Formats: sequence, C-alpha cells, structure tokens
Amino acid sequence: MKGVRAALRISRRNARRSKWRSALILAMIGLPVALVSFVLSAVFGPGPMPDHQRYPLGQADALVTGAHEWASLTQDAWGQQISWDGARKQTPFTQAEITALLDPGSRVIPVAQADFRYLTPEGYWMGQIRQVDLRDPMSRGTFRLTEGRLPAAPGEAVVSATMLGSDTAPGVTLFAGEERRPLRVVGVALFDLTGIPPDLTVFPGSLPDSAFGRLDPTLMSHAWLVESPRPVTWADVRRLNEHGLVVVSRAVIDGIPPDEPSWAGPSLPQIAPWVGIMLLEVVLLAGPAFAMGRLRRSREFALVAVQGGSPAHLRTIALADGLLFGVAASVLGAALGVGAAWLARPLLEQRAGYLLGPFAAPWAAVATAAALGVVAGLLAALAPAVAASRTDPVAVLSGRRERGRDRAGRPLPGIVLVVAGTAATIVSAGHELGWIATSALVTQLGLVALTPALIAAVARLAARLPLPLRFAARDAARNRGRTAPAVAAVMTAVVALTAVGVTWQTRLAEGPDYVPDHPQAPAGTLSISGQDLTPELWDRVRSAVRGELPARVPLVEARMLATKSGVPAYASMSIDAPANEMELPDVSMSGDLLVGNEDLLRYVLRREDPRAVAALHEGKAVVLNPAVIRQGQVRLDLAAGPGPDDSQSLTLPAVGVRATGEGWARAVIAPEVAAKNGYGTVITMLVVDPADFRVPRATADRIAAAVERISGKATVRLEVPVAPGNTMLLVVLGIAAAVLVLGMTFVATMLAAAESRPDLETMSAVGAAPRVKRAVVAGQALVIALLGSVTGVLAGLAPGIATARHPAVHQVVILRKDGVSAIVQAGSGPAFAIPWALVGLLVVVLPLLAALGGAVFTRSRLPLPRRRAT
Amino acid sequence: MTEHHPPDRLPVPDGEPVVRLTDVVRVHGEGTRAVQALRGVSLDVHTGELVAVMGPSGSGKSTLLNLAGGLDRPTEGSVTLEGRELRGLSPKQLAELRRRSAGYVFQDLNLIPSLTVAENVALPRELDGVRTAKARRDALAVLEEVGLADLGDRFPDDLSGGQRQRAAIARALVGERRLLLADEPTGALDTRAGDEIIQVLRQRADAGAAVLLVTHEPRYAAWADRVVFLKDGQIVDSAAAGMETAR
Repeated sequence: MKGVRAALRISRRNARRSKWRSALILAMIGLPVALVSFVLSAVFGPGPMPDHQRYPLGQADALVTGAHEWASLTQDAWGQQISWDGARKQTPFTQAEITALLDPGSRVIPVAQADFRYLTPEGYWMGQIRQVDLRDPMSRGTFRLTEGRLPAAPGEAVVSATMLGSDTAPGVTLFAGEERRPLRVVGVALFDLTGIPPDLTVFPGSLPDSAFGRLDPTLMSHAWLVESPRPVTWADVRRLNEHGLVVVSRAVIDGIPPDEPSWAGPSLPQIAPWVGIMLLEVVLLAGPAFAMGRLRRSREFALVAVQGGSPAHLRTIALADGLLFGVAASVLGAALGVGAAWLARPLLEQRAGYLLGPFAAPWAAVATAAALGVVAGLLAALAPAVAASRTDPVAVLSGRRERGRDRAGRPLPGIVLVVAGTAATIVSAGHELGWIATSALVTQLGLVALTPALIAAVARLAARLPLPLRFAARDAARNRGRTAPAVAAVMTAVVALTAVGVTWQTRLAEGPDYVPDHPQAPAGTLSISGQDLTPELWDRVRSAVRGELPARVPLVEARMLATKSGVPAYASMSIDAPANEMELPDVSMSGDLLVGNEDLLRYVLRREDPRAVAALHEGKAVVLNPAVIRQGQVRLDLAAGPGPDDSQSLTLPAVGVRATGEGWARAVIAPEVAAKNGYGTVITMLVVDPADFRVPRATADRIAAAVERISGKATVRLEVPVAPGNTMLLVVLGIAAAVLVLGMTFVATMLAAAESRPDLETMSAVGAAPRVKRAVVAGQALVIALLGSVTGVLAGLAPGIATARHPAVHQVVILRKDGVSAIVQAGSGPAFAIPWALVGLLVVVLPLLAALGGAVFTRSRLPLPRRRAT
Repeated sequence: MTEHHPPDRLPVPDGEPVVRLTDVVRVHGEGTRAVQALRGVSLDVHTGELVAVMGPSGSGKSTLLNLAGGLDRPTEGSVTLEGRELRGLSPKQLAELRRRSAGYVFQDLNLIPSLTVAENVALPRELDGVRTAKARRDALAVLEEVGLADLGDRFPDDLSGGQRQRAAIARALVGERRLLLADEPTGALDTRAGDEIIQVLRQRADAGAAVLLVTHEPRYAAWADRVVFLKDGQIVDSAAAGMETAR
C-alpha cells in the first residue's frame, strides 16, 4: 500500500499533538491488555509446582536419606519410587558414615522434618516442623526471611508467614511435642512450596532425632543435605543405593525434561466467547474516540484528498491511527501487565505465604493478548476510516456540512441475530458457561446492529420533550454513525454487569453452598468450639462467656476423647454410605462423639430422656443412629496424634436413642467411660442451649470479641440463619458500572458536543441563553446513557438468568451430626433473583449522573459564529 | 486596453493547453434547491501562463477552480487536464490526477500541522508511492525554488503566513505537476506578504507552470497574463493584462 509510511507518520505526530485523546485511547485498549497480561503472568508466571520433589534442595547438590537395611535399593530420579528388600528394622546412618561414602571434600548437614503438636499461648497447633540450619549456604533459596533473624542456637525457630499470628509472632515461646520442648520464635520467613512446607523451622539440636519418628524417605523425616565438590551423577546415585541410601541429586533432576503441564488452561472454545465479548467492548469503547479524531481532522483529510489522496489513502491514514494506537497500547499494556506481575511477586508471595517459583512470563499468552489489542485498535478505527475515505474535500474546505450518510442500521440481520441469540441463550440455560456466553455474544452483535434503528425510534418519540432533550435525541438520530457505537458500548457493558449481577444475586438467594453453612446446632444455639485450647484457656473462656450471660444460664460442656497426654482423638464410626459421596459438616473435627453429662445429653437429644440418662450413668454409649449398633455394642476407631500409627479401636456397650428431630451428636458417653478405657478427655465445645436461653445477637458478638482476645483457636457461632448481604455485589459491580457507563458516555458526549457546534452557534445567534448549551450537552449524555443502560439491562437479564441456572439443581448427601445421612437439594433456591439496587443504579442513577456530569463539565459560553473562508 | 474576443474561447498561445474547460455547467443541489454555480464556461490555461479569475462573491470562482483540478465534476461540459478528459474517471483516478497533474493552494490552513514543512510538501509524492528519501529530496528542491530551503524541518505553526503559503505553493508543484490552482492565496496575508506570494506565482508561471489564480484584488490581477471576470456563473469579460509597470 502506497503512503503507509506517510500515514503512520501523520498518526504518530497527531497522537503527540492531541495528548488527551491519545491517552484516552491508549488507556481504553492498553488497560484490558495490561489486565489480561497481569493475570496471565501472575497465574502462570511461577510455572507448575514441582510435585515430584520431596524437599527443596536449595543450594545443596543432593539430599540423601536411608538405612543400612535398605542396601541394594532401587529408586527413581526423584527418590519417589523406592523399593528395597529387608526387615522393618532401621539402622540410620550417622553423619560420619554418610560423609565417608561421599566424595572426599563433601560437606553434609542434617535435615529432619515431621508433624508435631505444639502449644502456643492461645492453644495447640498441629503442623510440620523442619530442623535444619537455615544459615548454612545449602539452605539458601528454600526460604526468604521477612522479619526478625534466623535461628542461631538450639531452641530458636522461624515461623512460616502462613502461620504467623499473635500467638506465633517473634518473641513468643512455643512448646513442641509431648515433651514440651521450648522453641522461641525469632523470625518470620516465606518457604518454598516444594515438598511439605513447614510451620516452623528450628535450629539443629532443638528437637531430638527421636522426635521425628521413623525413617521415611517420602516425608524426609531424617535426611542430609550434601555439598559435593562435583555434581552427583546418576552413577553416584546407583552406587549410594547399593549402600542403602536414597539420593535426590540436583544434577540428575536438572537433566530431566520438565513434565508436560497436566492442566494447559481453558480450551479455545471455552475462552473464545469471552475474548469476543471483551474485543467487542474494547472496540465499541475506543470507536467513538477514533471517530472524534476523524472529525477533528476532517480538514486534514480534505487537504490530503485535494493533494491527491485517494479514498484508499484516506482510509489508510485513519487506519494507521488504529494500528499505531493498537500496537502502542498493546505493547505498553503487555509490558505493564508483565512488569506489574513481576513487581507484585513479593506481595503475592507475602499474600500466599510461600515463595513462588522462578518467574517466567507466559510470553505466548501475553503476545496473544497484545495481538488482540492490535486487532481491537484496527477494528475500532475501521468505521471512522471508512467515513474518512468518504470525505468530501470541497464540502469540508468550504465549511459546508458533509451530507450525512447514516443509514438506519440493518434491522433485519439484527433482529435475526437477537432472536437466534436469545433462543440459544434459553436453550443453553443450565449448560456450560461458554455456550451461554456465545449465545449472549450473538444477541449482542444483533443488538449492536439494531442500535441505529433503536435510536431513530427514540428520536421519533422525542417530539414532545423540552428543547434540549428533543435536540439531543434528534441530533443523536441524525448522527447515528456516531451515536450508535457509544450506545452500543454502554449497552454491552451493562449487559455483562446485569448478567453477573443476576447470577450473583441468585447465588446469594440460594443459601448455603458449602459444608460449614449447614446447621451445626439447634437454631438459636450459641456454641464456642475448639479442641486445641488448654484447660487454663478454657477456664478463661468460660468465665468470659459467663460474664456476658444472665446468672443461672447453664453452660453445657462437651468434651471429646483424647490420649492420656491430652492429644484429641478423632472418633469415627461406620457410616451407611460411601464416605466419598458424603459431605461431613463436622467443623469440630471430633467425629461427633461427645463426652459429657445429662445436660449435654438433653442438648443433643433435644428432650429429657430418663432412659438415655440411665444408660449414660450405666457407662453405655448413647448412640443416636441405632443402625451402627452391632450386638449391643458400638465400635469406634480413634485417631490421635500426628501419625497414622496412633490409630486404635474401642468397643463400647451402646444404647440406641433417636433424638427429637435432628440430633446434634453421633454418640454421647460419660467421662468415667473414657477414663475406664484408658483415655483422657479435652473440652471441645461450650454450648448455651436455646431451650435454656436464647442468646441475643449483640451478646453473641460481645462474647465472640471476648473469646477472640483469649484465643484465636476458639470459634464462636450463633446458630441463626443469616440473610445474605449483597453489599459486595453492589460495590464491585457498581464501581465497574460507574466507570464504564460514565466513561463511555463522556467520550461520546464530547464527540456529540463537538459535532453540534454549528447548531449551538445558530442557537447563540438567535438568542439562546448560555445554559442552553449545558442543557443540550446534558441531554446528549442522557440520551446515550439511558438508551444504553435500559437496553443493556433488558438484554442482560436473559444470559444472567441462564447462568443462574448453572449448575442445575443437584443433590448432596450429607451426614447429619447424629450420624444419619440426609439428602439435601443444593441450589434449590429461587430460579433467579434480580439485584434491583444494581438495576436502579444502572437505569436511573448513572444516566442522571452522566447528564449532570455533561452539564457541569461543559463551558456554558456559547461559541460565536465563525466566518468561514469561501 | 481591453480586446474583445468571442466569449467561448480566449486567445491562447500555441500548443495544447494544460487545462481546458469547454462549456462547463455545474449545478449544486437538485430540483427547487438547485443552484447554477457555472453556466457554460470555457477556458484554456497554457503552460507558462498565469490566469487570474475575478468576480463577486458567489460568482462561481471557487467552483471553476475545483472543476479545473478534478476536485469536482461538471454537470455538463468537459474538462481536459493535460489532454485527459476528466469525465468518467473514478475517484481513485481523479486523486491520482491531483497527485501528478494539478496542485491546489487555498486561502489558509493549507498545511497539515502535524507534519513538518518538508513532509507536507513531500506528501503527494509519498502518497504516489515514491520512497520517503526521494520524496524528501524532491520536496527540498521545490522548497528551495520558493525560497524556503532552510525551513523544511520546521512545523507549519512556526512559520509566518507568507512562508506557509509558499510551502503550499511548493507542495502544489512538487513532482511533475504543471497546473497550479490558487484560491485567494493572499486572502489571509498582509499586503507585503501577499505581494511576495504573487511574485512567487509569477515566477512559477515563468518557469513553465500553468497557474489559475482566483482573487478579488485588482492589483494582483495585474500580474496575470490574462484576467477572466466571472459573474453569475458566466465569463462576462476577459482581458490580457498589460500593466507591465506593475511587475
């Protein structure tokens, strides 16, 4: 194409001359590209997590672990699949033995890791503790210290950022394991997510080797980090295997080609409709700005035409704008997005609480986003370019108005598309979201095609309106080529917002969606639950709760089984449905075997039951679901402590007693029964039975605050249905709506005001007051915003309702607290719910705000009629 | 000193005229709103000739100019530019003709503000597919001819009105174009700058261009070889200008 260079030069210089317009267009194309690039880089930047590795190697050359009995073992490169012959007996290597087997000059430091129960001032935690010297160069790269210092002596620890709380902050002393070994927190660090990230990392010698349990290569319970004078090869690995050592070598795993990503992101058909909708929105957004540019430069186009520019040349010059802005905005946007993702990594890591992998921008995906930005720029410049190619130079240069070439759109294809899209939306209701989005896109394209006809229809209704509105409506209709994209842009945004709003509101109206939202206690119950509090903490909690309640209101205490040393034991009973199909709404993690007196029994059964009380006193288990009783006995599997080794079973005489209504524990036993069988008990819950006293919401809030001050490990819950709040919905969608609708309306209004200048001159000449100009501009803003919003809301309802039907109603089997399984209809709320506040905002508040803004930001001085050269 | 000639044809020097208008009629609008801008005008302009068109406002001066350069099409009659009949040419071909055969200069706002003077002058060449460097060389050569050799890299806003008009003249002549159509090129200038512009036009004509100048200033008309008077769309008088002393 001839003259492309000249065209690009004109675009470039013009872009520099009208900085505001350029910035606006750059933002409109660049920001979506930046946003997409940022999300892509933030999500895919760290790359897939290496799920083969058991322990982060850091700067070490290898990690070894093993036992003398494992001699002649075989392993894979990751040390994951290991097989050996030999007895269960393990004789671990000593550090000297390991060093002797390695190349001379190798350096070895021990690393150990295991699950521990540790005590904080607010109660117990369970989590991994790693024992390694973080100051050693070999540990480098496995962590980043964010606060305090590294442990330098036995008894010192850093806490993982994910576990940082008031009870684990630097300065606090924790007590690990049964022996309550003191660990003083001296710093906070982010840890690599490889293997099992630790809650705490302690200095070597803080915990005895024996505390880390059996030798287990998959848990890296007892291992050594190796610094070798030369890379550890596969041959070295095989040689060490002969001695009984499992080796994970950096040199070996670095040589393994990376896995194919198991999840390659959404497929093309899944994202195509969203890309289409976004592209449509960006094109409609930026289109009016390009149209404004063409209008301002109409004289320039005329001059070029006079000097021999053919229509194709003029089109090229106008399209060069699209190319220039598309490329510039996309490159800037992509760079901004990737750069922001890179800069945000420390923040993301801090937020995630872990070190993310090495950053690698997903260039292919980012380039695709940028390419779409360029396409958007070209598409947005297309209509103005066609208009520019039709410039009548004689008309422009002599100051005559160009004859309008606007047609009333193409109603028939528009109607066909709208009907087809709506039908497809109805059909796709409750199906894959991609189908609904595709149908919505088809409807959108139809509506965009129909917009000019719609504007014309509105103008015909405007005859009775006051002058500014009448003028605005007629002017909009007369310049449909300019008005239609603006209205369509507002409409497209509003369609998306309405659809999201309807879906969101419907989800809110559907009620509980996840397990903890199912009832955990009789309605009106106040419960304070937590199994990790010490008796002293429970005493303080109890007196805090008592202080807020009237005297004589009983505080029912529920305990659960524990080991002699006080480690809670989870009790499981056989259930009559496969566990994988069942949801277990047991937030207390006790297995719902409660230990207590007749008050507890009354609370659980929801009635006084002398037979049950008698059974309890006789030392029998009162079981609410008789189906699990076999020959008068119930069998419990008890799991306590960190390891699977600690699982034990307990068989108790039992009586089946059905509760009145739903029962609130699977079984109740007396504390004496626990003691007789060699178990201790710990408090798991304090309850105010609503039959005794209904705790008011305000009191519950005060109790919650008081308990929070004592320990973060206790949960206060008032069992009342909570009405779903849609404040979040309003804030998020409201802000998006305000930005999109007002922004687009203002751009389009500026354009309209610029174009109607001759008319305003005439009005001025015949004596119109200055405020008439303000009123006219306000009217122009109102016409665009109102038309776009109203059609958008109407068009957004269908995809919104269709999406709200997805996923369709399905059944969930839950195991009630009394051990009886029940079927719950999930998603059985109303078919759809309209967010009326959002709709009101869209069709009333925002158009009025747009009109007000148009009036406020317009200079009221009317232009003087300008003499033109003839 | 006026000589009378048949109204349909003015005396011309020998050879084929650069532009020839024959019985040209131009009607703007249709039906009751129709306005006859030109009613049967015939005019030849030869190479080396500066023809001034004068007449009251609305007499059809600008329409005549627009038709001569192929910016507008006649309702009736024929326009021939360098031997090519413009009737039946497509908009694309007309644009090509304007790039290669005719150049326009208007009263003001001739230059594209975002391009430098040299780039403005080079624009028709670049649009014609000439390489940027070559187009720039051509432009600088023409700029030198109009006395703007040093100002090629300035932007139009930095130039005086007279300098801008010279740049516009340079652009109208860049390449091989021989017809220069100037519509009140001095209208926005003071007397002195206006005089300079007329002198430049005269020089260009003497150097071989055919210049058609629309003006309402009789003192500028005096620089012309011929003066054509238009009234109500018709040539009412024409005179070979003989005010040699004015030059």
